[in-house]
Amino acid sequence: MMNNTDQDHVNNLSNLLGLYKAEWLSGKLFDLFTEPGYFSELKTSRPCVLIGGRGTGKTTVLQGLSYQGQFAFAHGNKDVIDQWKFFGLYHRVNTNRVTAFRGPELSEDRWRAYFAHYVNLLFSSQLMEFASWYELQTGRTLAVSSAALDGFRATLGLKSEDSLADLAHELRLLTLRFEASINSIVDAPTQSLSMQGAPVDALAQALLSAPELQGRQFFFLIDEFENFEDYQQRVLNTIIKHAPASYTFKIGVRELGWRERATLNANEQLTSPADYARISIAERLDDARFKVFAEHVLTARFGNAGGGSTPADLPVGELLPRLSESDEAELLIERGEAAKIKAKIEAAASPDMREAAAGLPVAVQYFLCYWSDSHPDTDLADELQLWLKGNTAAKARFDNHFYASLFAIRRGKRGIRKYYCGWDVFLSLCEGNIRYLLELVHSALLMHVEAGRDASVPIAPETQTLAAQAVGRKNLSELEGLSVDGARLTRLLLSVGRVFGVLAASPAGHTPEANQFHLREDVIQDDTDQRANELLKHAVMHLALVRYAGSKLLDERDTRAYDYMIHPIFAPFFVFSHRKKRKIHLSSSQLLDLVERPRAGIDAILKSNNRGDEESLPDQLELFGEFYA
Amino acid sequence: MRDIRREPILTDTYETVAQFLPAEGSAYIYRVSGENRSSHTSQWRSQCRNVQFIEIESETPAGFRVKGDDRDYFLRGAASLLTLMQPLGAGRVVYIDITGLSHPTWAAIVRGAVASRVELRVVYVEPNRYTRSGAPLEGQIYDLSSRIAGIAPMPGFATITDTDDSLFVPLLGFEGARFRHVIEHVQPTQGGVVPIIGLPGFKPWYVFETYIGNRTALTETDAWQRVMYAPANCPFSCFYLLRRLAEMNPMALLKVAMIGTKPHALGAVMFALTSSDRIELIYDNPIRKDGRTDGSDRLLVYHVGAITSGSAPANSNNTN
Repeated sequence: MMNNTDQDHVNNLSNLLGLYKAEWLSGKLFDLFTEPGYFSELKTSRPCVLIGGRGTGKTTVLQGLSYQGQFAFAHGNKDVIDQWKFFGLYHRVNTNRVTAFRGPELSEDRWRAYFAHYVNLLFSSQLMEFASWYELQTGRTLAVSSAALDGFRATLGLKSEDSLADLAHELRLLTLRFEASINSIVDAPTQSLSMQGAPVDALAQALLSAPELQGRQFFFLIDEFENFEDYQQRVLNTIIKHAPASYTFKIGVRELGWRERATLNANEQLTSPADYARISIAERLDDARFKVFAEHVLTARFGNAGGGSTPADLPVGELLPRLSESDEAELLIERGEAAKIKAKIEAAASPDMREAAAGLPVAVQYFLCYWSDSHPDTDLADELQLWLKGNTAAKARFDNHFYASLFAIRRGKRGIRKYYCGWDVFLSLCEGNIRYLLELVHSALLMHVEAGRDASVPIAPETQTLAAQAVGRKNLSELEGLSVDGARLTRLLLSVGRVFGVLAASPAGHTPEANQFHLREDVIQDDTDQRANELLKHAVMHLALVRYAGSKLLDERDTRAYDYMIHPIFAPFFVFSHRKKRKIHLSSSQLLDLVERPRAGIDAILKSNNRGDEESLPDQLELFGEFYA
Repeated sequence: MRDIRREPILTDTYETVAQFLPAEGSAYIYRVSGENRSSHTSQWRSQCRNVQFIEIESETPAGFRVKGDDRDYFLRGAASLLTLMQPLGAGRVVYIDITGLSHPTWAAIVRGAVASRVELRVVYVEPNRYTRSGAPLEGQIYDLSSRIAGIAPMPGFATITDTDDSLFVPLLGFEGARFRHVIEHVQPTQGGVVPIIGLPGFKPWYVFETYIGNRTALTETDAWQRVMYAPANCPFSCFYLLRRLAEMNPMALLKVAMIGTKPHALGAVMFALTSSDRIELIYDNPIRKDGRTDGSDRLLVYHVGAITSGSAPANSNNTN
């Protein structure tokens, strides 16, 4: 049972690491901000599109570019405002707002006009809010001439002649009236609407004509761009393409969430680098950079800790010790099993080799038995002889297949079947996703402290593994709520996870570490391919799967040009290799079967890979027994 | 201290549907859906005197059609809804039976009824039981929705003005996946979630199943520490709770997710009709499974007009 001090520890850790969503951090967001390597690229005066999965830090970065963020970084020093080259206006696309602009009552053309008007009101309000904030912070009144504002007034039919504050108030009333007209769109379809972009152009230009703001630029920081309807993305694309120098856009979007690249002119596409700078977080944060970034993020969090012993007392690599493959094999092999292996080795070894054979590490003894058992063309005596003679091919076999063989040691047994531990392994499980990393470290530390251990003592491999399984399970259970296709994605993940779990548990005589798939190019007449492609897109967008560019990549929206893998965060839960390795081939219909007829779909794929699913589920999967039945 | 005189529960409770009869001279709007409890009108209709029945025979996301009437009624058309309500006559008792209607439809009709100044009463029949799900995932104990169409405002209740300060108030049901879905879209701050759970539930044990279904999300958001309760079948209690939350958070917009019982959703709609600038309704548009419930239990008549028109009817037969 935990005492008060332990409970304080748990609370402290949760405050340090448990707040892994940007929206949970509120005031702490900017205190804990860690600048990623690509941050400066976002500060250029041209449009940028920041592409990354859920939890890769897009929101944090975009909020960091906002004027509120920049002000917080300066610790409220008002003098810095005059040095800023841009003023970032953050906006998260709210589904509950933008879906108001659809429905059978109007044609898409009419909705487009209403939506463009909404965007005008929204961006204009943001500019007004900034002006108000600027005046409040600096104590200066922005000297925007009435003549400069005439154009803006004209675009929206505003009447206020006085201060910016009066104009802002009138703008708010206009928005409320517009809201009422949207709610009775059938009655009042003739609402006077502003021309796309015109009020924003006019107001941005008017504000920047004030001597205090001259030479600067506004950044509209649009987060969760994927929430826009398709036609709405085209409207925004048009505004981005034709934005004047007074403002530009920094877009945050999930992979595959930017569905429309055309502007309202179907022949006009937004292309990189001509129209925007494309910044893919996954590409920018390669393994080495992600490691550095992750260490900075954790250091910032640990540094914010209160009193008492904290994980900050230990480098993170030491806090999360790894297991060598040999050590892991020794942990996985039970005492009884080790004795059986030993006996087999002794029986197979010729008298002159017996002593040397008995002295081999258990891991090597196990592997030689494993290999000879699964290859009829050899036997244990031969394998022993080759190994003890230092045969190069035998060593290469060990190097190539030993890791895969670890998954077979505790096949079908209770308890941990494979360890996932070590800082580098945790980093690999995250695949560049900083939220997952915080979840993993948080979960491991919580389990460690709850077991009565000190936060500054290394976390045991077993605890790390159980924590990694728990994080996988948590994200699996969250998947259903992430999107309208959540239930299908959950079934897909459960099915594909089981397929690769079974493949991993019986590696002998098969391609080792097969944990990816590629969609076969079968010619099918019905809509099977299309449905499979849609499923894959959603799975990637919501991080059930990750994808890697194949050799013939033409277009990033071409699903068949990629190899797919279950996101490695789920590897400990389903027990397969988190390392990007070898692939199997699936057809579109096989993929859909995994969702629509899971049991039959799993069996068919296993059969085509010469396996069956007779063994028991890992402990952590037993709750899902009904699904697999 | 709460002044409960300001919070009357204006509900008539009938232990079985057979005990209920609409008032003479009233109008009764209803729909028979795939749930058998929605067909309860057939049990007492023949005994009614001078009651005008208006049966909605089909619903779409944007409107509905009435049996024997070839017009389309639009949810986003105040004038369209008035053509349905006004002929009934101001002051006439109008029952809207929400049991078989989808949220967007009944909410729009309630709005139309309030605008038409009829004496509005809302009828709801509790299900005898919900269908249990064989689904293995936490949050899917009950098999109520085949899927969700996604977050989109109910027609006529859209909010497009942005606010800095908000309080997320999910009206919780059994389906934790729906709770997680709205969290994903609303993205509330840590500490900015106040769930409302139906207590007592339609059945005594439902409160526990609500906790089981929503456990993960309640834990992750720490919202379990701020849960508030309102009887699952009482829109008035939910309405007053929302009003108190609005009073306690004068600068915040209440973002109310209607993922629980229909009576709670009715409470939220009542609050939206009386304080539209304080609330944003959030709805995930579930696609209901036919046969999601079985049997019918109590029938409740809510004198909603007393709240939405600002005065309680003198002859209300209060049960509390």
